[in-house]
Amino acid sequence: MENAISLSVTEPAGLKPAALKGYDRVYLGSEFCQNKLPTAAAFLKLEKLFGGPVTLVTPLLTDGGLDQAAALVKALCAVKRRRPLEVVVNDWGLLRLLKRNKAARPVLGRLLMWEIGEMDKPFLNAFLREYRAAGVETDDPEVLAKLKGVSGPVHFHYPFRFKSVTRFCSYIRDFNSARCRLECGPAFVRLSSRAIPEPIYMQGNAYFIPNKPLRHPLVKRLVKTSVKE
Amino acid sequence: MPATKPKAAAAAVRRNHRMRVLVGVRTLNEAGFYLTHGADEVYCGLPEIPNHGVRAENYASEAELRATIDLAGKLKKQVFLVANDVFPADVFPKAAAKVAELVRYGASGVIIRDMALLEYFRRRGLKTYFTLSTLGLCFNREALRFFKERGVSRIVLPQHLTPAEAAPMFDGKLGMDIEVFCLPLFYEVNINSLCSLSCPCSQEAVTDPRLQRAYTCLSALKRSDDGGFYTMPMPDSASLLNYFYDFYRLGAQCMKVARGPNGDEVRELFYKSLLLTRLLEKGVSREAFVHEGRKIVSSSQNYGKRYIVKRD
Repeated sequence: MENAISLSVTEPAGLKPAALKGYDRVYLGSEFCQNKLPTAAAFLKLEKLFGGPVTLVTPLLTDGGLDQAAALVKALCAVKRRRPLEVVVNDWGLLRLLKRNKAARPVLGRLLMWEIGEMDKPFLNAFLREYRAAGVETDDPEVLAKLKGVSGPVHFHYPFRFKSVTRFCSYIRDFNSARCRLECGPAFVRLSSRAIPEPIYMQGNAYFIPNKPLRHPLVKRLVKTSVKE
Repeated sequence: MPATKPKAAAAAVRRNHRMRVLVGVRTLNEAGFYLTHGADEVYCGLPEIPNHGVRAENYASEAELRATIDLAGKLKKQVFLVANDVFPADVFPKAAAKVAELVRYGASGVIIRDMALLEYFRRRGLKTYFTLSTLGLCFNREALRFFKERGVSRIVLPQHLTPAEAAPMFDGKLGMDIEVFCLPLFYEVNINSLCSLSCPCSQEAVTDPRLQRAYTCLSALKRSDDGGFYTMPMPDSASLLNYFYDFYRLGAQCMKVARGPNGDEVRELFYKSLLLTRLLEKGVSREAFVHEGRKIVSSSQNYGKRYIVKRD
């Protein structure tokens, strides 16, 4: 079992190598907000600091965000690596762009998990081959059960299960193609009410509930989100 | 009856063009009403074909749906079959075969989400007019090409895209028809296909009004950090009117009135959406559109509670 830690874009600043001890891989970026793509310099610095594989994490993208993500992937692929750059992809457009890029290898991210979880498995497996996908990601035992028959490895995220996302950011009161200063930070804010069945947690423009790491024959990687409160 | 292709996007006139009006229906009577009161197209589903609607938003029988196809043919209008969910493996063969059968019978096209269904049609050499549901997550021109290559002819633009963000997708060279919701009247707080928060829209036959409390996206939530209250954000009414105005000016070909389990609410949504659309087609200024539009959208529409099924 591979163990990975997922860092938000602001976390590598001032990070000590000891904080990454015990992990086989580091994720950097955001699955939920296109304003949280790292710079190429920050990504390369983290790669050097960690000395192991770093995965670029990307969200749903508008055309403007797609241009930024494509430029970032191009810059990162210009650096020689023993293995292709792994990119968590949550956008069909970026997946299409990566098809022709042999220096990068996509992993289908959590925002696509409901699309691929239910999908006819012979079709899904052919699709994963067509796009050279290195794996698929989820955080939900229900989706994991539906993935029986998938040909690639599954990566499981914890300690939060994704529940919802908006592109209209509550911090800047605008859609997240507008510039921001990352006012949301990396913190998870607990939201509760007697009107809803259980508390939820907000991080930036996404909402979550707690979950636990799941050991399962399909799961080959556990991805822990670094949590600030 | 052969499947027919709705008028293509390529000819879109960007100034004062007529937008096609699409309405979701759940009975033959509703289809007849809308198709004779301003709608160009209707869409409808069956419970045995996976789709995003609750049971009460679907037709009760296939015979009634076939009668709707017959009626639309007589009126020279369009009927789309809604299959906008990913088909689970255990129902895929039967459900896909039913979709194909109804296309052969004369449905004008299919609203889809599942790429495996597109592949099913391609392998059998079956052609029809595919619309990608807003649930399909098409947020940029490259994603649009991704679906175009797979056989999609129209996309329903996600609600969480502004006109400025979506403008590159309106490039006529991409050859995709674009359908929009009447955003001032129909906007979902979170991205609909990526939301599994507690909400009656994801439950069957919700008849208990107390469950209204379970709309997480409309509730005041207490924050753990500062003790204040938080409600999930969305653009204000004037912004949404401006977006609708701009999508029309960009050349959106079709305006969609979504299905609902309660006929009277859909009818109100239809009339208001039609009024706004006709205002745009008259070529009124942005200022006049927003001024008049505010009056149209300001009356209570009870949007967020539309999934509480009322007894007819």
